[in-house]
Amino acid sequence: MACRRIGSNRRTLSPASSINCVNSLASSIRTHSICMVSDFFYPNMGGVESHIYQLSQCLIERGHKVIIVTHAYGNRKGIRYLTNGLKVYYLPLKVMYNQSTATTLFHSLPLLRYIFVRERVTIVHSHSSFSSMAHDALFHAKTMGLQTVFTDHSLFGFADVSSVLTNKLLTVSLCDTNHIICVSYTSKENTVLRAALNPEIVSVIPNAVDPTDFTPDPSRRDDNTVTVVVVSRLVYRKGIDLLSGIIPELCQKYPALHFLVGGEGPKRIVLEEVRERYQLHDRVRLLGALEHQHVRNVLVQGHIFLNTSLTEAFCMAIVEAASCGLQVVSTRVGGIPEVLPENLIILCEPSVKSLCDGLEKAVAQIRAGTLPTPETIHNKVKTFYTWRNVAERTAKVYDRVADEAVLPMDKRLDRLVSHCGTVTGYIFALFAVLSFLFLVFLRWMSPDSSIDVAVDATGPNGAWTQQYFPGKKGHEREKISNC
Amino acid sequence: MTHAHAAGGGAAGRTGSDGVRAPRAGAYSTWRLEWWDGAQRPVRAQWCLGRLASMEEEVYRAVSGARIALQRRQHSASCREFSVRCPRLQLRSLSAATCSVWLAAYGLFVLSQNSMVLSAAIFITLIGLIVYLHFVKIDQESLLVIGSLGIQMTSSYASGKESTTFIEMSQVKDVVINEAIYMQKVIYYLCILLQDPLEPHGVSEVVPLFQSSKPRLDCLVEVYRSCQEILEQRKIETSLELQNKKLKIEKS
Repeated sequence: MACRRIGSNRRTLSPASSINCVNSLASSIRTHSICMVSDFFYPNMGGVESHIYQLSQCLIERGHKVIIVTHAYGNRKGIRYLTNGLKVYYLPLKVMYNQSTATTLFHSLPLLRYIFVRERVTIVHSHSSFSSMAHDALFHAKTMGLQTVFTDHSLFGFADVSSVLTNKLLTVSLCDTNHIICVSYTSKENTVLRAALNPEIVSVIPNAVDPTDFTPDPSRRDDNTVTVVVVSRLVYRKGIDLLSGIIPELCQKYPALHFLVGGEGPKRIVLEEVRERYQLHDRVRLLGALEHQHVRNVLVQGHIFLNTSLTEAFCMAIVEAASCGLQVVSTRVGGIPEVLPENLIILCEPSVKSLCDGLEKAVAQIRAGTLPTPETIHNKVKTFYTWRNVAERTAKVYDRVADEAVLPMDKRLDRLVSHCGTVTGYIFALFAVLSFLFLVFLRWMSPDSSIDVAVDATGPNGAWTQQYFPGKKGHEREKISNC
Repeated sequence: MTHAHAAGGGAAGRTGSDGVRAPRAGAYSTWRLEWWDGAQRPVRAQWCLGRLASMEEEVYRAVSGARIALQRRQHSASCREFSVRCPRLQLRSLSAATCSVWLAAYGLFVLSQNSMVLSAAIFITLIGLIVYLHFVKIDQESLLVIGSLGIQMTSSYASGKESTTFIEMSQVKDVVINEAIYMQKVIYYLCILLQDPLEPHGVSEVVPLFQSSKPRLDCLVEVYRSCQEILEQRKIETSLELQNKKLKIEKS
């Protein structure tokens, strides 16, 4: 807890102070049956996807039963099992925009209800406010009387039309959700404001990195030069325009400075133009799209990691870079100031001049040799954010939620009408009633008793964790979905 | 004598009054007795047919909620037959379908004053019924597993048409229970995995079983267990044969 720092408008997210995992496992007797719902899951790559996967794995390790529901990705549909019996439902729903499914609030109810019943789900945990399937699942779970948790992974504006609409939808979706999890205090503030929530039901649980994936390797660096690494998608939001201003200025000043840029996106053309105009082909390398397992190999080649994001809820990239032992230079936006303690990061304003000053400071420190060695930085960072700690804190949220009552129908309608404005409130109250009637119809069509209870792969009665895999029963689990 | 015994057992276990159906000639020229229990729990009947194979019949539910009967015949230790019988065509649903078609036709007739509509409706009903009975409605699906030979799947349509598929034992890799998303449901089904001839550990195809009756998990587990017993026996036999062959080669 040495790194916790309050004051100067800056809160460091409480790091994992060497949790005793054995003790915590023994004391956690309550187990839940959790259903993670999000449009975003593997084979799609990204922060939300890896968050869901890692969190589920750690919850399974703690003895909970976890299943994941997402939409079908191309040929990957039906039911699949991942490591340790993590069961994934790839539902055949139509994808509308940006890997997000279309939402009508009704069409997914029959399938989701069937899954919630057959898996005996007690808590529905939705991820990402961009995912309409997550909102649908929250809506249906509340209609069915299940406890709901929502994790928000992103920051939003308030000004433009699309944010206004999304914020309204979020208000409706979250006003009767039991608990909300945000990844940083900035993100919590943002979500509370956007969705007009009571801050008491919003928890902050940061993301984590797998420290064994991001280990330093000083032998891979070239110590005659100073290499600045940038790994991000090359889009406007990541401040690539700032980067294109920084590169020529610093390259003129320091002849031994090299840039290594990993990532792909529409702003790549801007960087290519800069490289062309200032003849920097030997000093600015653009690597293109990187797969997640190759990110570490790029990171360890550099001395300084530069992050130029304009908005960020919780920046995983700087934690990964610090874990590889790099000096981090970043913009002071969103939740970034909370992520790392002051001695590991140089914070700048999001302007070319301020970022150049920050980089010059970092270069000077490297020249003077005052920086701590990569090993010491790694050893420090690896205690900050671990998935076990995230899982432990999430399990506490589940325990709390499980004791709460789900709003009955009349109170839910009241809440919708009083919370979301008159017009929207009444429209969604009508939707809630219709969806309840639809549920009654579905219960009449196929009663809960006619639905087979699924064989648990994980959890207290998990067939997967009981080690009789090579036996005859093993065949039952060797399932290859094709439908 | 066996007859009376079975009927007695049925009366004791019966709570509803669905009644004992008329006995009907079975495939093995024996009398087969069917009855349905009013409650949901399966009624078990077991009797030995002397020199013929031993036979068991149990009532289960299909995924749709309909009652189905699973019949097991054990011809020998490595030869078993399972058949799943779906409920037959109900007079109620038949008359409902006919009535709705005819009422719609009558409505059209009133509007258009063309009597062709009525005769067309009659023909449509008749042809529809024939097509349904001959190509769609499956009365019974059976699975014959012979350890040394292979697996035969037969489905008999309501019209009496039968279609049979046979899979040789060397092609069969395993019989497993799988999960799939079917319509707006997630169901369990039994399937045969076929060996990929090119890859020793690969699966070239998955053949689903009991596709039209779709029994629930408890019924599938029964069939699965029996199939696994036979497959296990066969594995032991083949490994023994291989050992014997090796021994012979070594001796010579």
